[in-house]
Amino acid sequence: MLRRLVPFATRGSAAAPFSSAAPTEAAQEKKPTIWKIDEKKRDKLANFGRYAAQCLPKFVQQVQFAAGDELELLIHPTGVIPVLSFLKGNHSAQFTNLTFICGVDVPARQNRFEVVYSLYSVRFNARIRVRTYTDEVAPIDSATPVFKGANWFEREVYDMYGVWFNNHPDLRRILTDYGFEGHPFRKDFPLSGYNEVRYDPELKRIVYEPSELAQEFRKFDLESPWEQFPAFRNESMSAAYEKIELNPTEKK
Amino acid sequence: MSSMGGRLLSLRSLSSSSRLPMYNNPYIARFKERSVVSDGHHKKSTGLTGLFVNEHPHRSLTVVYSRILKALAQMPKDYAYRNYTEQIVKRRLALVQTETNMQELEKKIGMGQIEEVIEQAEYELEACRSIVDSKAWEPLVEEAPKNQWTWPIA
Repeated sequence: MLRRLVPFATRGSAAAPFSSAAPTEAAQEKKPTIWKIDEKKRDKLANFGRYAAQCLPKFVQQVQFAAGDELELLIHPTGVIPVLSFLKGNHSAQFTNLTFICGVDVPARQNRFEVVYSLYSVRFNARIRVRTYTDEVAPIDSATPVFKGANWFEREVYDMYGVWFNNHPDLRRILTDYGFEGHPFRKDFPLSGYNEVRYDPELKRIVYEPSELAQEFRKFDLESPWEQFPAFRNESMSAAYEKIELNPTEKK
Repeated sequence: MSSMGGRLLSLRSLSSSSRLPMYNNPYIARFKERSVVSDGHHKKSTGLTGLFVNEHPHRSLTVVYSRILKALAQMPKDYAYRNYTEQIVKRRLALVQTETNMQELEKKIGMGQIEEVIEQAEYELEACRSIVDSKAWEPLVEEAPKNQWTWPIA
């Protein structure tokens, strides 16, 4: 009861309501908006990544951290169902919540599409991402037998990128119109689309026509004459993935 | 005033008429029966949506755990997943067999309510089966193509 009364007591005084706990700490905290990486949790996640790779040697190609402390499992596309059901079912994982599935398109790669599954463990308050790859024709196993919520996410990935999911109960477009052509999130999808839709007053209905641009091509000069980040002139551009060594004992 | 009275009357007649079929509420259709708990039980509900009170957790846990152990037996003996899972499941099974009091058992397992533990065991069984089906203990199927996981590409 005492703890609950504390904020009410401070509200009357001039002090800010949140500073009552530890004002000195708050004063020392200079950049509260920057995410602080919890080293202990990071170590635990790294250990879990090694454990998962050890348990699924057939499918896990790489384990890595993205952006400091976000664990990622990079897997072979045949292992979607065993990997996801392992993460959902294993007693020391319990990633029972499927946060999202999304696609990524990198046309320069041999397998241009990536499919990313993000999971959340309510029991251990931890997140993990599973990434796999495919191309325009190779299908991926649907995650719906493991997570029912995967249904619409996979429809979305199919709609936006044209990735085909095997054994999906109802694989059709979800965001675009009936009879839509192409997959809008592909890098080679034209900005104006393939078809344009307009109301025809003579026919008194909507008509679909191949889109025509009044102007073939415009060259925009988007480069600024000034240098934006002089402090980072010599930094290399990278997403800062940090690979986790799977056999630390061999190294010693 | 008269129009309002008319509306009230029509509303009353609507609610009392038995001609309109009731909306087939899934809570009533499927879950109501399952959520019934007998009088002597120590709790009326788990407090978690969709998770129903199990009055015979010992029985269900032994069944699921023995199924998990049976599925694990199909894996090679030096497989990490098999060893770790067997360790956990055997420890829990021993607890289930020795402790007869439900609440004490929940405390000893330390994974929340016993119904959650049962659900977790069922998920583990599914994971076991899909691992057996896919033979996940074998060496890596195929390395990723070059530059698949690099960013920036090359």
